[in-house]
Amino acid sequence: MSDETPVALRGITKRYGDLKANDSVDLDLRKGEVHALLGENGAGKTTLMNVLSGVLAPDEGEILIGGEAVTLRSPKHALTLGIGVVHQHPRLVEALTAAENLFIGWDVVPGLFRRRSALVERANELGKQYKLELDMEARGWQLSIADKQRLEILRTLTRGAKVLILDEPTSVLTPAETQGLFDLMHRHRDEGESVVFISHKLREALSIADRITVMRHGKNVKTLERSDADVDMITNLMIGGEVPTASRKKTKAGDTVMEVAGLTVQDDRGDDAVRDLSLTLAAGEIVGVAGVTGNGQRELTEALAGLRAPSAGRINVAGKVLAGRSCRAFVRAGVGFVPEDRLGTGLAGSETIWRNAIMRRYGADQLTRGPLLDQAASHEMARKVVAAVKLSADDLETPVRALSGGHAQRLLTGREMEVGSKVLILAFPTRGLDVSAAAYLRQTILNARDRGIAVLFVAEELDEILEMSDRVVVMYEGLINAEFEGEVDREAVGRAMGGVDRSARGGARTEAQA
Amino acid sequence: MIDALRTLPAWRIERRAKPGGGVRYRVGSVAIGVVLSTAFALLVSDADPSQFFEGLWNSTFGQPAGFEYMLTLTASLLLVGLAAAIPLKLGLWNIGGDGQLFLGAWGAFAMGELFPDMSSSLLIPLMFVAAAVCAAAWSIVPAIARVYLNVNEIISTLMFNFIAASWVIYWAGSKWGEQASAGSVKSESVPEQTILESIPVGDYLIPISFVFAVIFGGLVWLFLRRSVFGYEMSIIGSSPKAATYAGMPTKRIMLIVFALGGVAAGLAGVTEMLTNVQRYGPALSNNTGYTGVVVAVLAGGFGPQLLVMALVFAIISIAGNVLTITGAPSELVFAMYGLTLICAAIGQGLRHVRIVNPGRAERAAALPSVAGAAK
Repeated sequence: MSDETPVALRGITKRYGDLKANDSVDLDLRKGEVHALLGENGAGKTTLMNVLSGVLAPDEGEILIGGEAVTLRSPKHALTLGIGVVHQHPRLVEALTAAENLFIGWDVVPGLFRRRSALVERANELGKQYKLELDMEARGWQLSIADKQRLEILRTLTRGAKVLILDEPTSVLTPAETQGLFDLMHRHRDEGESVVFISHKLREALSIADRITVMRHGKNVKTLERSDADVDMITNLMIGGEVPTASRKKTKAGDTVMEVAGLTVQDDRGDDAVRDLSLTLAAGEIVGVAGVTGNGQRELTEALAGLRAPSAGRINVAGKVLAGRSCRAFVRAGVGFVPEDRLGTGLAGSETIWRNAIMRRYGADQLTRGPLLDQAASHEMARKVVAAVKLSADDLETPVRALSGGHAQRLLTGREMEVGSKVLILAFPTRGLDVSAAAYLRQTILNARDRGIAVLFVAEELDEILEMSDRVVVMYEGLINAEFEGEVDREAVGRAMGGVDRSARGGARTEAQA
Repeated sequence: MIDALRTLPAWRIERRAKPGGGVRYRVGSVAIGVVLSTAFALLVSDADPSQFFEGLWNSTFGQPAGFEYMLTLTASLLLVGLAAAIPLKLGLWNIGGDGQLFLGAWGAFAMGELFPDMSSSLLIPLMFVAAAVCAAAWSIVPAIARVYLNVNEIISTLMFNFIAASWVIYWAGSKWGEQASAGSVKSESVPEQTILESIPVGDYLIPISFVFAVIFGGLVWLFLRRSVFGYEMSIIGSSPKAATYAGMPTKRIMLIVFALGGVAAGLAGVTEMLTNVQRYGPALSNNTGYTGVVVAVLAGGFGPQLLVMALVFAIISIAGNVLTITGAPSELVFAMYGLTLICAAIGQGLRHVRIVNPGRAERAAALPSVAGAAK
């Protein structure tokens, strides 16, 4: 049996106060399988994997490794037993190079005394061996999120993980990189080891997994073979009911509100991320921006909100010239912006809901009395923002950090809709949200569109973009290389996302790094 | 059954999803630190505990003279505490309280030198203003280096203390020096009319410096709670990126905050000089600026808790003085500060973890008598 089942969980229960994050969960992993763990946010997937990887001790139940009950003392201990986790948010030292991050705390290398070039060389060898190549000389902060994650996977694999646990790994990867990751998972499986793939993306799980376990409310709802599963069935298991869908009615787009021409913007490394881009947004339309993450979407959205000064080009909103002006000028012109980085840029986590709700307006005359902040007016505005997105107004003093991801995003969106009387720039607004929270948000965005607001909708799921948008543009290497209206051909969009020729993209990347 | 118990997992430490109650841990850990450091001090100094506690009582609340001195010390610690606590709200460390204190006192003393015959109602306010301006100017230099050149402010403010120390020796020794004095470096006295008296309340005396420090601290606290500027500070302190996104002039605010910290420390210099020391010289600070950093960190904010912490550290300082009477070295008080700080730091760390015993539930089930009794 131990051959078949390298790892088994029996009756795992984990409580946080009254909440059972895991409720007597059983799970068996087989040798040589990719096991998908599916469930909405808060279903208990991550808690379960934290138990399996030694981060948390279960309150009840046992962990069997090779048929034997073990007590995992720490993640390091778990790794010596062959269980390694790649976390959703990469944990790297930003100031160190990729190579240094790879070897940090690893006793096979006398780290600090090694020559840097030797370290990089060895790192590159390992990268090649595991087919996870990246720029080993780049510093942590220079790496894209995708590269950071690849580095973390590499780090886990090179330290002998046999059971590889991937926590929502594809949310930051490009389709090509996702395919690369899937290949890697299959290789690992074919070597007779196990992979646990945690996700809330159904289609991916169905395409990669050999078996699927669905969790809901901390319980293992069902474990089934891939051959027995289909989308509808799994969806019902995940949410325990029907999926709410956004309703939309077609509206006629109005006059052009935002006009962007010849826009060039640099990324943090100083390279051009957006190059000579032109775009118009009309009142009452949603323009979806498709594209593989890292093709300049972040820089574009930040420039359109005044957060990142463009080096060239025009941004006009309703006749006002905005390029090169401050964030406040954009706010005054009625441009709202939901940034990609919610709890860092979009919201100040340790501050209260009301302080966050007035953040983009705090200096306005109606909120100030001389040097003082008008407390009554501020709270009034906060209540308005909160009410607009149907959040409770009872706890305006709660720190935003205590909100769930979905509620925090609602607060942020509500605030930006108050700001964005003309234009709303949305960067990945539904990323990481569970099904119902994402549906609520999509409906909110559609309602804004129906009120005549011009919306730029950047997202990573093509299905979502197609469902939401009146017009779709594809960003590729800082340019809009295709535009679709009316009936959109998925395959054509996909081809545009990959550039004219897929291999050309790889070449361009290497060039940029050299 | 014994075997069954043996195989159960042992106690272990686990991270909490959210840190536990802040005030409880803060107060508890500082209390533990005070008790431990007192016990430690008694142990190493061979003092007779009953004598020590009697001496401590008389030097703090027990007798008017002690009480007055305790409040004078509290006033200084409150002001230098503010000097560290205000920048700390933005995550900036002002270790330069000592230097800013000396520069503030310097500016004030210079006014006394320039206008020795001015009436007290004009000269004292002038001295306070001069102290604020000089200390702010002194603290803004490392602040500019931090904000525009990214020079680590911990190191630069610390280094500025050493420059200030030489500055004091130069002025107090050569320029304003009292020729008659031998040994310690100190200036002549400040003009007589500027010396701040205490306000009698019953048998006790409340120093004006204490009243001033409490009012100043209270006003700063209220202003930062209610003002647009305070709002900007809270957002920058929580997330500088969010502040930029909100359109806040982050750099300018950092400079102002540092200057404000300098003002507080400079005011500590002038009040200390006009209340206690009455001369310009190194005696104005017994590492008060550094103690202020400890006070600020332990208070974790600039509200009323800062006053409480300043009082606690004034009492610890006095406890150290009492021990030196019995022959203990004067450095003992810094060991006491340090021990308290370490305890508080441990307390802050412990907020984030809890100790769990995965086997406890099962063990309880294995002991039927206890489980039965509970039902």
